[in-house]
Amino acid sequence: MEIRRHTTHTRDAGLRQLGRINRWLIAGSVLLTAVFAEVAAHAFPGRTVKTTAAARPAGAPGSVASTHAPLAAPGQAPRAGSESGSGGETTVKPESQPSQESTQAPSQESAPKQESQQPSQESTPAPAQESAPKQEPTPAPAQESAPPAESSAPVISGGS
Amino acid sequence: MRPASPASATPGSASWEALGTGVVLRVSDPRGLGQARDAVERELAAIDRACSRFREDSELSRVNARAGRSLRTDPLLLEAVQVALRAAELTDGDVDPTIGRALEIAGYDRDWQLLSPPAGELQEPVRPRRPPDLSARMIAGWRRVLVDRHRGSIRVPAGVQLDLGATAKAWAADRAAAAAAEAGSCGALVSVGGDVATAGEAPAGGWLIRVTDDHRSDCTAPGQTICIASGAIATSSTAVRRWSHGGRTMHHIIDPRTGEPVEGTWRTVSVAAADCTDANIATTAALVRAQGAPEWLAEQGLPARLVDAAGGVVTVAGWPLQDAHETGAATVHERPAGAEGVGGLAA
Repeated sequence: MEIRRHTTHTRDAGLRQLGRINRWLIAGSVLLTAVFAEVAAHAFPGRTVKTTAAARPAGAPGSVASTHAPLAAPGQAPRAGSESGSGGETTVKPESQPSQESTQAPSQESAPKQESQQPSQESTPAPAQESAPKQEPTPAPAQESAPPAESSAPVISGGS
Repeated sequence: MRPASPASATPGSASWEALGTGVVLRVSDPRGLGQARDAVERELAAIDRACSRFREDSELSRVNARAGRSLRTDPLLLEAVQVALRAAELTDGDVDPTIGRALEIAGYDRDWQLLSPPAGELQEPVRPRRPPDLSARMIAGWRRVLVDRHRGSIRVPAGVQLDLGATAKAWAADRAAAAAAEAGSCGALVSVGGDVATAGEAPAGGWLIRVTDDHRSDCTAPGQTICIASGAIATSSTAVRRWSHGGRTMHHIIDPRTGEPVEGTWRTVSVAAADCTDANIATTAALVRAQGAPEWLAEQGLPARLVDAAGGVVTVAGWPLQDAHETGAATVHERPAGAEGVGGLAA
């Protein structure tokens, strides 16, 4: 009788120990899974999660152009400008000795069609570069067609 | 952001300081100036709160501080980071937003207003706030930045610091110009640190812009005056925002492949594009690409003007020719689009 009780106690103790071991094993495997996931996240490059255009409402935050959209050329190439007669000064400090200017006109043939990305920019649809006129210096805008004198001096575009 | 100053209040034009640099607003109808300016100030303030690397309370600082973990963030920063990642993708990594640590190591670890001497001259060596860590010269790369639009979260790899300086100002100019044109019901031009964006109908004759090395220059600085009816002009230069660090002269255009300031062919590059973001992506990439820049710009169909260290000028893709006496340039050459063997100044 005594021997049977002892055997029962031993069995129960063993079962409890097995239960504890089981719980430790489960906790350990969860922890290891998390560690491996973190290691993998650091080891391999990430990527940008993209939504499709159809799934994304227009104008919604984050609805920037597709990451594959190419750099967009302007609707019109800039023209040579002159601030003469518009309040700006034209005297420039030479950076180095002047030299001759190339007479070669720019070739437009290989330029791609121009696309405007900016909906707020109300430029006319961009023509293909093939149809663009040769870029040559144009006369300064007439005084009467310019904005008010104080604000018609050129805006400076420079490094910052 | 510093409070706006009444530096200029002429009709149709205003200028003040924001985003650590100079802002210029022009409108085609002076009656819309007040509302346009309010709209620009709101836009720039929001972008400063979201994207400044130098504000501890900005969203970008929060994301950088939790590098290695995914973080839900402001939609504005999410969009700004997407713009920066697009720039990296389109330039094969020449314009990389993960150069924040490299800039810090180079000494550019605080707002330029605090870093630069009053006259913009080179100053005494700057001590970085953190001790130099040469391993940070290994740039992690933009491909490891995870942007999840669905969750509105960003995850920057551990040890990486984002810097949006290559795209955020131009992107801000685009947004501000659009906001100004809408608020003022007129055409608007906004320059943020020399990155010039336009929106709405231009005044008769177009917008006059002078491209030069430094946006703080006046109209007499060597350069070229051009006119645009729409789109944008951006200029990047290694001749400005320079400082001395560790006995070396540094500037803010970083080559992501080396983690150091570029030592390229070009001193200043100006590009015209449909919007200022694209123009500025192209100017920065051109400085990094050095001799390959003219050909790359021509392939993109982006009119551009490149000035080398000696003052020689190369133009591509329909950038208007200029009189040599206007720029004082050593040489002025037009590169036909797609021309073979571009690079250098030998015509």
